[in-house]
Amino acid sequence: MVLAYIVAAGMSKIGRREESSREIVAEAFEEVTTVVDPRDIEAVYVGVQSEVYEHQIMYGALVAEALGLLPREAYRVEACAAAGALALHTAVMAVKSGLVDVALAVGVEKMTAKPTEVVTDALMAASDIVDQLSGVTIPAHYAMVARRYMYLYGATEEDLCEVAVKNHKHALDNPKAHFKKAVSVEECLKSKPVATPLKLLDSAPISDGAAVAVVASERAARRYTDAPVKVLASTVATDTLSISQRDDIVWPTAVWEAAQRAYRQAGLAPSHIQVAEVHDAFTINEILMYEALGFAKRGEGYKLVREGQTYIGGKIPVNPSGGLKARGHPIGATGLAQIYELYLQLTGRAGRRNTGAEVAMAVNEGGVNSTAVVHILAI
Amino acid sequence: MSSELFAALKTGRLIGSRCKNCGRTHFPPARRCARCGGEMQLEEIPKRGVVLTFSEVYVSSPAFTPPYVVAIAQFGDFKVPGMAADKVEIGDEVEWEVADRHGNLWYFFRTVKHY
Repeated sequence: MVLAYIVAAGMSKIGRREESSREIVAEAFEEVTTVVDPRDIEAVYVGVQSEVYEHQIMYGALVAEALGLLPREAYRVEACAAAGALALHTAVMAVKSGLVDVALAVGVEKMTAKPTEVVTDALMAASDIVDQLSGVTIPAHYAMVARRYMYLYGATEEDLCEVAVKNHKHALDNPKAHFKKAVSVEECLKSKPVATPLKLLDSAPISDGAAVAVVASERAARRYTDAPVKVLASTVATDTLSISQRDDIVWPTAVWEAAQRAYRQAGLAPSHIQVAEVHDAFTINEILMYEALGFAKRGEGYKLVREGQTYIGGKIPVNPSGGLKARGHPIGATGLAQIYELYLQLTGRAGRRNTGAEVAMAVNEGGVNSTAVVHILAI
Repeated sequence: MSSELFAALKTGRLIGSRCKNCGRTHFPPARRCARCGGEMQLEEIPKRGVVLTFSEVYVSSPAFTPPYVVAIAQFGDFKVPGMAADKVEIGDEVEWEVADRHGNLWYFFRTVKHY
């Protein structure tokens, strides 16, 4: 089978940034120029969520201009918070099709210049019109999933907070993370409500940041490294925009479907995955991912975090970077921030966060698990 | 076919659609079934339902004034998201009501009182 390879990855510092997205992208790109000559890049795919934050569209040409890559093929892809991994998926398709040998996947979002209410409104565009007209925000969607999940399976608000505690702990060792501050279950339980039962510390922050990955064909990859990261699977699946229209409100069908296809593509099973970066936009979602990816049985995901099995050093480390929760969540950049972490993990560059993993999975989703993008990477 | 939903609201009805092939329902009404692609037909949504889940929203867009309650309720075979007039719990009985919102007709949920 023809494979695509990741030969370099870069990420800006995540957090509240003064710079515009073009400067933040340039910062992430600098990191890959030590490996890849920019002149080799033939196409650029850019994941961005919204034109609201910077009153900007045309991010394809904008990024090509900012990175000195004119007049390359460059365009934006979008699926809310799944835009970053979608950019990688597009780069993988371009390389595997043989149209180009080297493609750049970019994810970026510059959000913090807008007030929280405006960000909430911009994210609400990811939901169905009936939810938008009824005031069902994106956090409220996840909150209703959490409420029903707790009701069905006996998980508690403490269990949800344990995800935040873990991811904040992991981020302590991530110099580029938005938060480098440990939190306790008690602090999480006492934090302000966002959409009950979810609280501020159940929620990923509003962040600025960018991440990039260089995807190459086998022939091109050899020019840069003897040990490129293999993209064993790259899959996309979709579900209803409104969680209300799902057969089971709490079950992330698109994530499950994309993961099933990814396991088939890679010829692997859940037990082969040694580290994962998953989409913990809200703590409940990391628990749902454990189940949809096959790390835990349906209705039992919360037990994994209760038992501490998803910490670095546990049975299956999840979100060693700190996840969306603590590394930060610049929406369009998140999918590639996950890939950046797994690139570091697989090449042994993650410092104190190193897990020694040789097979890794990234799960990025948009809306409320309405678009799921799964990648399996290996060294 | 949100346009047909808005038209139905003018006559005090709430409508969804049902797949002629697999029987699945959808709200708002759709021309084709999201799962099997079959043709759908319009159907009125029963008046009384049961709350499946809910949330009290404290952070929202500028178009809304928190805190307020949202819920998903099951009305017959239809699952419908909406704003609730009162606090609700899972299992509570609610009815949908059509009301004016910012000059347009929309619907919300009201708890059924049992005396």
